[in-house]
Amino acid sequence: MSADGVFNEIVHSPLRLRICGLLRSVDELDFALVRDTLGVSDATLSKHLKALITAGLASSTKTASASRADSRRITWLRLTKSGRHAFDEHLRALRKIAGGYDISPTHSSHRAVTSEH
Amino acid sequence: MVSDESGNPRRVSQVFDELQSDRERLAEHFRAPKWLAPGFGLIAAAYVATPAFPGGQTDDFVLIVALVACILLVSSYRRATGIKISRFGAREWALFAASVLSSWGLLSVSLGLAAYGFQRWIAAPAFAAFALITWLASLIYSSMRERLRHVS
Repeated sequence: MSADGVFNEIVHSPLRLRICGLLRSVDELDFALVRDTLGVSDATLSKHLKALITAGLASSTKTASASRADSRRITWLRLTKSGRHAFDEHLRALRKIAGGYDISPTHSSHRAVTSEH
Repeated sequence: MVSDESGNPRRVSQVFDELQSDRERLAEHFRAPKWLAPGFGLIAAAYVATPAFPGGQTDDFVLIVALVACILLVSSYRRATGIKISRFGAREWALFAASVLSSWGLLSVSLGLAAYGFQRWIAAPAFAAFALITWLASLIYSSMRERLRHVS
């Protein structure tokens, strides 16, 4: 673990960063829920997930759904151990870049706490 | 390599804003189904009412049924919400411990009532267990939801 974090180009792509941000907070998320939360299409989400899965940062599993009459299955998405590590390092690197900006968790509290860099 | 835009503190701040907004939207989806907390309350009530049941092997049977019911409840709510989250924070662990200890305490009351032959009065600690565990389960869920809301 680096004190300054490690910038990760795969994670940094805006949508992939948001996907990782959602998955980091939980064990697993339903594909449909990630799609709806991010407001993107199935195809767009699949494309970015493929990049994360290919890089070994995320994984997916499918389970049967009793609530669905047809053969569709729930796709559960999760970050792998290296994915969680890469995301945490990337956030650390971003915080380092942010410098004097307060990026505390409360959404409304983002503000410059020092003079402009 | 960090691009010029990525290296801009203001842009980075916007990135964190987006992550925070996503988390808040996700937390909105993390709403407990109405049956979840009362379901745990019913399981606790059945466990506390065990001394009122006839037969010698009832304790183990009720405990096993209660555990299976808990697993089914958790599995059902995961499917209902599309979110699997199992990590507890300090507050959730404290509330969980309070649930277990209060269930044991109320079970002791039931056992005492059964020992003195007041079988019908066991309904009182059973009802108390239902109310208390329903309340504690909803607190645990709310606490998890709040934790989910924030980017750490």
